[in-house]
Amino acid sequence: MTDRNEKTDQKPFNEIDKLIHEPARLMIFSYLYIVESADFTFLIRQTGLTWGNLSAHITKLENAGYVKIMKEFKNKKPNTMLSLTNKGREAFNTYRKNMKQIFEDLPQ
Amino acid sequence: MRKVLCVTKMFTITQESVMENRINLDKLETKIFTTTYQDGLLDMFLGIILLQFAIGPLLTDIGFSDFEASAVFIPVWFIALFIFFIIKRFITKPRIGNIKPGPVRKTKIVKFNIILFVILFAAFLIGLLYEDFSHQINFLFPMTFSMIILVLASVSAYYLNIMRLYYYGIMIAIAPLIGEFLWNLGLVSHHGFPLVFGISSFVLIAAGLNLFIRFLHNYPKIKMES
Repeated sequence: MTDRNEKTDQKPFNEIDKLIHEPARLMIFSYLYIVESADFTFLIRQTGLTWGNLSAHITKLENAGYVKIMKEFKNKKPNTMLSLTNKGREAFNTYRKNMKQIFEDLPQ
Repeated sequence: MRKVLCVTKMFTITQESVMENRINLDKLETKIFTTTYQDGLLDMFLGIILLQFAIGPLLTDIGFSDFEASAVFIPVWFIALFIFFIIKRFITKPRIGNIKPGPVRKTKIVKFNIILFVILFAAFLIGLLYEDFSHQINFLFPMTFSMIILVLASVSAYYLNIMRLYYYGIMIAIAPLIGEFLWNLGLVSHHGFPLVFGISSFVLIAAGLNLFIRFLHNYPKIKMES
């Protein structure tokens, strides 16, 4: 009985998406959530992450199906645009809801 | 490194930050959009537009008609626009990156364009009426001009989230009133336009140049990796 209660108590915490919860990825998610799409330069500038770091995070998010990478040419130069997929947007909304729930349930 | 820490701090999860989630995302959206205007090009372009009001009246002294004195600036605006377009493409964009705005900003821009059209159309109608009443009421032209500029600047500042446009609006709105006052005292010619708009234009171009230099300093070009 106690075990079941503990499991229920932990439920909101377990539902937190760890892939989004990491601060750097949370930053990337927040920026991509607001815009339709953005390129690497923009994200590096806004997040303060290095190229390699950002690239590693983006790969993880792409593998999870949260981020879509579009390679295009701009002024005859390759330009990589990034955007959140529908799955990514839903995951971010769920994450926001869960986090809000956790903090709302805490006593003042 | 310091910047990374500062930016990361912005995303530190606290009870307050989660409760104010909506507000923070709004702030982030504003921050993203206003970055585009940190290069000072808009300020410089507004300054160049104002030059027309400063130099135009002087051209009438050397034989230009009112229409010619205004029309002569159209190619200047196009040249300035072309130069700023080139700067935006080859200097600004490679430094801040490219974005396609989200639905919130797109709606805001559409609303802004509609309101801008309504204001400019109203200004055009007022301009037509002005011919009939201008000689009957003193200060009518500068007051009308000031009001239109104030409304235009306030709407632009609000919808584009560029706070300095409020200050520019106040400065440009006051200019013709001061000019008219000085002209009534007999201290200046051409309703004081060359003086007051010359100063306003100089302030805007100087502010734009200052922003541009700061922009180049704060946003060095990022080296792309394959």
